Amino acid sequence: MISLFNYPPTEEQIWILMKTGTGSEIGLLWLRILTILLMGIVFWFWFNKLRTVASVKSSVISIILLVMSPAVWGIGWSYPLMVVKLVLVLCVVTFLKTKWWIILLVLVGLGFYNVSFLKQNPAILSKITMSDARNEVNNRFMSEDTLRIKMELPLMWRRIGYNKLFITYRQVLAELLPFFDLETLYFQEVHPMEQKSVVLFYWPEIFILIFGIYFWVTSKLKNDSNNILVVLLVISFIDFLFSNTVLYQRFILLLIPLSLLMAYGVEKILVANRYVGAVVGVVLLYATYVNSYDISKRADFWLDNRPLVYQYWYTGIKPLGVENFEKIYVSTLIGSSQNYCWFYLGDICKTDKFVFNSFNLSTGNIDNGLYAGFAGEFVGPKFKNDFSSDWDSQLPAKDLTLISKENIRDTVAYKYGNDIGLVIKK
Amino acid sequence: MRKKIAMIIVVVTMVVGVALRFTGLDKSPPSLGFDEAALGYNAYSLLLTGKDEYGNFLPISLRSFNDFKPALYGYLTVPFIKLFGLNESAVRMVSALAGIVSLWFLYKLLSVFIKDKLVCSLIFLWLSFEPWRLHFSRNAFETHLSSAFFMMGAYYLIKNKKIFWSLLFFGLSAYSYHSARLSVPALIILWGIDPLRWFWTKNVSEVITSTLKGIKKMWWMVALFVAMVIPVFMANSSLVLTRFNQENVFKRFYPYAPKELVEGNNPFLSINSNALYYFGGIMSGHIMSYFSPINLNSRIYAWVKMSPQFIPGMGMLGWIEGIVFVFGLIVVIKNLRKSFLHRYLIYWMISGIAPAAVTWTWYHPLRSLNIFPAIEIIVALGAVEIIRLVKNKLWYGVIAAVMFVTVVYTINNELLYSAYENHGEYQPGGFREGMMELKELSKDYDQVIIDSPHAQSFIFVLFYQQIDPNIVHKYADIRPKPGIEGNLNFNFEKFVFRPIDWPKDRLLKNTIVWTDDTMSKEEIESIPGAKLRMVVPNALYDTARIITIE
Repeated sequence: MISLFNYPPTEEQIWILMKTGTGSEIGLLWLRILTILLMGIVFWFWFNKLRTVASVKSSVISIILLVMSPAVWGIGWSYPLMVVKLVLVLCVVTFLKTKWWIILLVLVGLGFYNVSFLKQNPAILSKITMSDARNEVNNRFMSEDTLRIKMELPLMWRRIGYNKLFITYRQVLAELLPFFDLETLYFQEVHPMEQKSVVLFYWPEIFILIFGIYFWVTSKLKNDSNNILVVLLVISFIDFLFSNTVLYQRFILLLIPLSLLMAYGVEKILVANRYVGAVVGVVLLYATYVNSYDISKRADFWLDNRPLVYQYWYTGIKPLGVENFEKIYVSTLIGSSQNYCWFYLGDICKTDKFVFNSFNLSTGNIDNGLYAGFAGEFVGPKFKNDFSSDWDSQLPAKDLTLISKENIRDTVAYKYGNDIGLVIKK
Repeated sequence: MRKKIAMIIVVVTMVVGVALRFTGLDKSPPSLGFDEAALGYNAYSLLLTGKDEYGNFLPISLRSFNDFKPALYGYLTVPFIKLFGLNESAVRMVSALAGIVSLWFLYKLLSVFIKDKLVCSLIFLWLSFEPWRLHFSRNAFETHLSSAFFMMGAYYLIKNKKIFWSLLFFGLSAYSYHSARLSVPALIILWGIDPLRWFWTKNVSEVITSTLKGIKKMWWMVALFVAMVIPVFMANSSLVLTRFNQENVFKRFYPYAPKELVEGNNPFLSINSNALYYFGGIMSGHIMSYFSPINLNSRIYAWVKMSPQFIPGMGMLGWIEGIVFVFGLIVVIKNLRKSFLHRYLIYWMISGIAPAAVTWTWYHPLRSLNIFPAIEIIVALGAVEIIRLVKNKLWYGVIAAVMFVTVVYTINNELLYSAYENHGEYQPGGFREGMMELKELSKDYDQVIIDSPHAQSFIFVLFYQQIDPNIVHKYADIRPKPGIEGNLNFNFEKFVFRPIDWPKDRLLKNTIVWTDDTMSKEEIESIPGAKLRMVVPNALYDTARIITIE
């Protein structure tokens, strides 16, 4: 059974293991432990910084709320480069004064880090170039001009509203509005669109946030405390804007100021009434338990399915014996096949026995060998991604033998189905 | 001087508001939705016979598509149909008027919260062009009428004067749409008891005393309101709750926890995935979704997109308003302790959200329309706070320019682009263009087969051909019974609603067929006796064919 703890490595982890030459399960475990330790050390520094601007109680509660967050664990366990980003930001905020030029440097650094190291392509950059705006303006005019029955509005009037500059402003706003997404932040457990994201905060914590905001705006907090909060909110906002990755990772920096606000709320509740505070604590502990249980049962629901695909293929290839095949073809529909191969099978992946490319066995001649791919690569892609469960019954007609197949939860290769398999052509 | 300028701004805003709401109601949107057609035809039937389409005399609810629409919108449409005939403009007139009245009361409410007249009028000018205001004013929505009455009732309640006016408008609101029947008593109770104060009350006896005072203040209002709406429940008690039975959250999401985690026979006894925990999450999420800026501004859920409440490219509010809303919320939270007005806004939100929160949809603007004036006031408070913080007056010019262009965009989006995007299932088009031709032709034929892919196509026949309601009443008993959802077409007189089966139907005689546009003229005329009489257009493309078979 797949759980968070035995979840296969992510591409980021593979990349680091390749750089350090420690491609094995042990190496992965060490990487994970080191990453968690790194996060722990940073939280410790952050806690000490927080103590200088807020009460000890708030500081402790803030750290506890962060540690309880599944998103923090998810990132700590699988995304070391994201943890490095967290480390860098918290170090700056902890050890340096929050002067405007330092903050500006941090923001520029974040943008550079996201684009260069994390290889993200923030959507907002394409909006600023106005190419999308031009397309939208044209589309609007064309669409409206096709109406046979319509109100006649002067062209000049329409141009005031539909122009590249304004549409760019609108598109930029559309990029920053998702930052204000309560559903992703607090209701991921019951999200109406069942979007793919790890839980950031549990839903009962929304009420603690409301308390926290109330006490923040009505209390006379120290300037330093206010400054830290505002600075972190701005940093997390800019990081969100200039990132392009799985949703919960875009919000990771926002967890810190929100946890601080919630900590204020919890502290005030405890001061007002210990018993109510105890109830809050019990509810949050139960929420943590429920979500831990959920992840233990449905890790593939919460986490990226692509590592599971590679794990299936390569752990399936190994017992068949790599030496028994002239060629082994592995799909590249979902990214860096070769790196995963190296992790599971070692240096043999660098030989020409392995061919890393997507394929289509439904047409043309099929070379002998072992094929690891998606259903659509074996029987042909389908536009609507609607493959029947017995798609493999088509294989014998082409002298193909199915070794094994498995269904994955998410659609990671649209048009190619949710089934993955190992097939031999002799 | 400031007051004079403020008054000019208000007058201009109202005049422009009238123009935007009443101009071109037959062109934008270019076709009716089936709910609009149903409201119109029922109003027509009431005008001519005093009965709805099923023959119910002076009904309190319109059975319509077995959804039992509250009837007030229909009754108020009657004089417009008398004056202008049964057409799109007449049907939408009530909504347009409700939009204008609602606009005026928005100004009155803003005046309660913003004392500076000039600032108030400028913010009023800005908020008057909110996308939802334009969109809902130009479509016939009972909920829009209800929300206008609700707003008027809420205004007089907050002023704590003319309480009877408040009750009257609340009552009218309840007769206009279902959600007011829960929102109104909720608001009155919260207004009377003012429970948020309890957080700052030191001891329990004080809480009890103030609560009892609050109950004394408002119990008679709740009783009077309940008495006013009793006829609604008495008329068709089980059937009126049909809509609730169809849409409530309790059945739809049971057992609430993810199905893969459900253990045992009773999900409420599970420790690992307790149903109550997940149910709490669903309900909390439903409530908080109306405070989530992304929902107010830009996120479109599937059930919104596939419905007449969809505003393409925009949410209910303009894009910047969601962010300003956050500032406004902070202002409200900051003033909760000392200001009843600010607490009232929260009560207004909660009471308006309640009916929507118990339905299965996460965020549903149509069902929660009552809260949007409160949201606008919160946005206004945020704007005032931002104005206070912005010291450099040069920024005002920039903001004004951006707001002006946004208003132009919003108007274009609603009057033109929305007509393009919304054309489809809910606003199918073609019926207006083809029905008169069909009516003329059908005099000489024995049977008219309507094969339309659009839901409830019968209502468009009734509407555009202005079928005598007395004829329709005769068929009430054979129509699909309450509780049945989906396609409710029924055959009447020579009209038959079914798919065409050309291999068989080509042998029919003296028949007219209304069908889709997949067959070419040559294919049609290759059928012996068949003749293509009309290619029926809608606002975008050719949508249907009228074919006669001799």
